[in-house]
Amino acid sequence: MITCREMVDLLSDYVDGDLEPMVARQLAAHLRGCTDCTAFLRTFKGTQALVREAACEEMPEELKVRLRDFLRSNLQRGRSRSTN
Amino acid sequence: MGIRQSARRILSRLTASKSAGAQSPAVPADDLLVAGLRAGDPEAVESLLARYEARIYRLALGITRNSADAEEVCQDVFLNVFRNIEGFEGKSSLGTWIYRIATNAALMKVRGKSRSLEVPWDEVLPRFSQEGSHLTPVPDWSKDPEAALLQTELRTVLGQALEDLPGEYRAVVLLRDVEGLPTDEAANALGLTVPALKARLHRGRLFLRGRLGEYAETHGRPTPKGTAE
Repeated sequence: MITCREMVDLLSDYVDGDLEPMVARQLAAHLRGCTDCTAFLRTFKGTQALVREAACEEMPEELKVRLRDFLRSNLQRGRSRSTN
Repeated sequence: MGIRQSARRILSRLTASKSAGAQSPAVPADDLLVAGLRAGDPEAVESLLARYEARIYRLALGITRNSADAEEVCQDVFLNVFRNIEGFEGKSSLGTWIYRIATNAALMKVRGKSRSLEVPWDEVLPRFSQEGSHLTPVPDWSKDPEAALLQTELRTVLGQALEDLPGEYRAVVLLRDVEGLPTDEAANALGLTVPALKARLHRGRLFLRGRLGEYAETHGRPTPKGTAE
């Protein structure tokens, strides 16, 4: 039987689908009977969702332009050195 | 073809793409992209940037937490890629190779600036009885339709928590949970074994959840529990 402590230890492997099927079934059974662990799982997944959302910053267009300018300039410099 | 010849062809492509108005081309498969870059294919450079620049910027920003540093990381990464594409051996995917260059460059930026690796893990991990049960009730603050304000506040708390998480842990969380790299590729990109990556990922996730939980449990109104997933 899985304890709450073991459930927390196994949680990443559980949400990533990396647990052995037997262990995953035992953990799912524990979750069905444990409201604290169910809340823990939900908040764990909720945190992952918030991280994904928080990190979805678009790359500014002007930065894309500057990146191309930088590469052009530096590759040009490399070419000049190689021909000297 | 030598590295200098590759760089010369890439340079000509960058010049051409600017004058042509930089339309995004259809993105080929990685092996075609690598072959194209090595052959100096005029579409390959723009394809590489179109596929990876936004991802690398997002990752670099996530690790460095600073837009100026993230921009410099992007510059270093793509300059490195173009200069070293001849040496790319294909032992990992092109994406993993680029992510590896990017995480190294970003972590270099935060080393020296970042906080100590000493994280108060015990403060953010749950407490258990001797029998291994939760010592205190666990509120579910994940879904409260009336708490939009709390969700907004949690985003702010998350930003601070990500800053407090050591860069090596932040990189793992970002590669797995934002970029969606499989475990083995993320481990490869970071030069870690799979067990080491998993351990770091789990700690990082628990740390972030713990910090959000601390805030939510004192500022939010938890929803009734009891419905298992």
